[in-house]
Amino acid sequence: MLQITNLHASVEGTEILRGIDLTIPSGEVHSIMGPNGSGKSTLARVLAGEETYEVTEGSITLDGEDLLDMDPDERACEGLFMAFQYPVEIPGVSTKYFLRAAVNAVRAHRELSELDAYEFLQLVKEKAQALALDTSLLDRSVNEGFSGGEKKRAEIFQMAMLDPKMCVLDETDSGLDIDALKVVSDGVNALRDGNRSFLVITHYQRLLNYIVPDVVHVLVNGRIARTGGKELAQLLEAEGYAGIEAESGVANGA
Amino acid sequence: MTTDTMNDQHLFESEFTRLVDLGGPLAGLRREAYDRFIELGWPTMRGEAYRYTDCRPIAEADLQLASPDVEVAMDELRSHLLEGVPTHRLVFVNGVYNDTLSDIGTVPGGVTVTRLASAIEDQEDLVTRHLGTTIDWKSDAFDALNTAFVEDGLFMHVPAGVHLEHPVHVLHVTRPGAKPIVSHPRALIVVEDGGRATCVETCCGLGDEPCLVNPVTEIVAGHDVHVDHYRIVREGAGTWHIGGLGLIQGNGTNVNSCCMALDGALIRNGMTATLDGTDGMANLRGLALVDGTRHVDNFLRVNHMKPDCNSREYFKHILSDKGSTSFTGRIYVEQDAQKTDAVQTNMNLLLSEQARVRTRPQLEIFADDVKCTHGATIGRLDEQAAFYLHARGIGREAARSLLTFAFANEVIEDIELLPLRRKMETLILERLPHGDLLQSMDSVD
Repeated sequence: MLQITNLHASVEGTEILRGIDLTIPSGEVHSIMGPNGSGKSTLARVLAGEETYEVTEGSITLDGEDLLDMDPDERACEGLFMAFQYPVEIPGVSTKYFLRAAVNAVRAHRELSELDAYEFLQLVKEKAQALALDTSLLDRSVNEGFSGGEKKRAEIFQMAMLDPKMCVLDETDSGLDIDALKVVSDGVNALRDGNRSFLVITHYQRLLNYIVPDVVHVLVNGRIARTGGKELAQLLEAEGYAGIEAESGVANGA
Repeated sequence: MTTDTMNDQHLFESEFTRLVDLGGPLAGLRREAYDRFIELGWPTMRGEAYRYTDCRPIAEADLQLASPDVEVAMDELRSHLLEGVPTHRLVFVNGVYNDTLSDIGTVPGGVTVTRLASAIEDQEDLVTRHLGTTIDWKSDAFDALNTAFVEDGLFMHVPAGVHLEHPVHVLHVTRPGAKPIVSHPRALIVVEDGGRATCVETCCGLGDEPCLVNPVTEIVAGHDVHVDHYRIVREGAGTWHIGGLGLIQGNGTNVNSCCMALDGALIRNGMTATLDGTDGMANLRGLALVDGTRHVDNFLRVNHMKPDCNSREYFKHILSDKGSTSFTGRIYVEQDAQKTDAVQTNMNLLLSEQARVRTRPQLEIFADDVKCTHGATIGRLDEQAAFYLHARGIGREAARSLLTFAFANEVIEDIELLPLRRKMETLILERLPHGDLLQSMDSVD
């Protein structure tokens, strides 16, 4: 599904990602953990295609297609979805309208017919039921005045509506209380269907109690320092990142 | 007899002489206004009121009073009509009523909707009592000029307690010719106590030759009245549109007026609202989409004369290319007008490097227990928001257009007359890249 090879990326001349290799097969949930400043969010943003990040070396492919060659909207149409760490508030744009435009853009790319207003609302109802989400947020402007939990729920709802094959969750747990965390995790788990893949980026192990990963990668200083099973997350929770940082030479400034 | 534009003393004199020779109840007012215009001369950028509006091309043009003897077919007006709602339609071509294109229909008992030229004869008392009372034509040259040449336009009278259900739609159609023309349409809207009315004015140009359109609309609203007034400006590319709106309102009266400035070489929207009763609300709004080398000037004055009134000014400008705008908002609060609540907002969205914005609030407050706030912003599109939309599958240009539309939409989203709001949405979207993709904005609801 997703194949990242020797990825180097920098922002304003400073290299943040220093050679990432990562393969996520179809249907698997991988987690990337790491201390602050290790490059976790940079990886998410490079995947989504934000222009402030310059890819200097390496490649990213999604089902064999070169992702780096695509604009962000094409990536979305090809089935990549990023749930933002900080979803942007957009006053004046109704969530419903925006979502319909997005869904139809993706459908057009997949050569599916455009949804009319009625079909769109049916889809909204169906997805909201499946995720046990309340649709009242849809009547408001995109993320405007949403609480932290509402914003993250809205992201998961968008994910369900756009039906991506590769989902990237960028610190979706940040700013969530335990109830909101559970709702969001249940939503993600409901979308696990054996084909769809997930990359769950998080600082804390807590989220991984709810979204149980197949593989855990530890990102340190722009490289994957260790890869293991879900027990690796528990080890990090108990021991912190210091051990792995020391092991990979970060602590002594290399 | 020829018009000598090099010498203000003779400006439009021959046409004026013809009009004054007609006599009638307005002869005195016309004479006074003409003399005043000659004294004032064309406004210059040295004065306060037209500091940012360059009237030199108008002063230098060899303007002639427009002739109504031009052909206009109904098909040319289709895109300007309101669909999905019955209207009382009056069409004026080059300032003069056109019976063939108009369709006033039937109005409820007691209501008058007619051309001003008739009302001057038939409703002499109402016309002479109210005409010229809402605007300061003694200090504004264009208002003086309009008043000097007042001849035709809309006259509307809603008696006490009557609600005029359907909107009155006035189309000011300008068909310019080889020589620069000028027209001075005037509208007088009088709504008595407890009355309710809606008026939509569309100023549309059928040709890009230089010309001056100088429409003045006056609204006289009694007590407990509700008036909604809209003006859409879609003039030809060579048109100088210098528009004026005056309104005066009594106790407990609510007036909304929204001006959408879209097309024309120069668009000036002068609005003067006088809150002359307690517990009133004047809600003035404006939206301008300014591209090319066009200039839009919103020039407002709100006079709070009595206590406990609210006024709102909400003006947004979207600028691209070398477009420029200016906004002047004067709020005057009389000593008596305690508990005034006035809010003024001017927001500008710059889509290019060369666009220019000037904005100035002017507050004159003589009461001591009032709330007057003003705010102006100048900004660009939010790139984070654009990226967010882009990352959800919406193309780069379409995402930017969606954000631009959202900015504009806040001016019009509360308009209750749905066919008009839809029309305005379409007019905005038509002017945005990939706007067609964003059509049917609200059909999801």
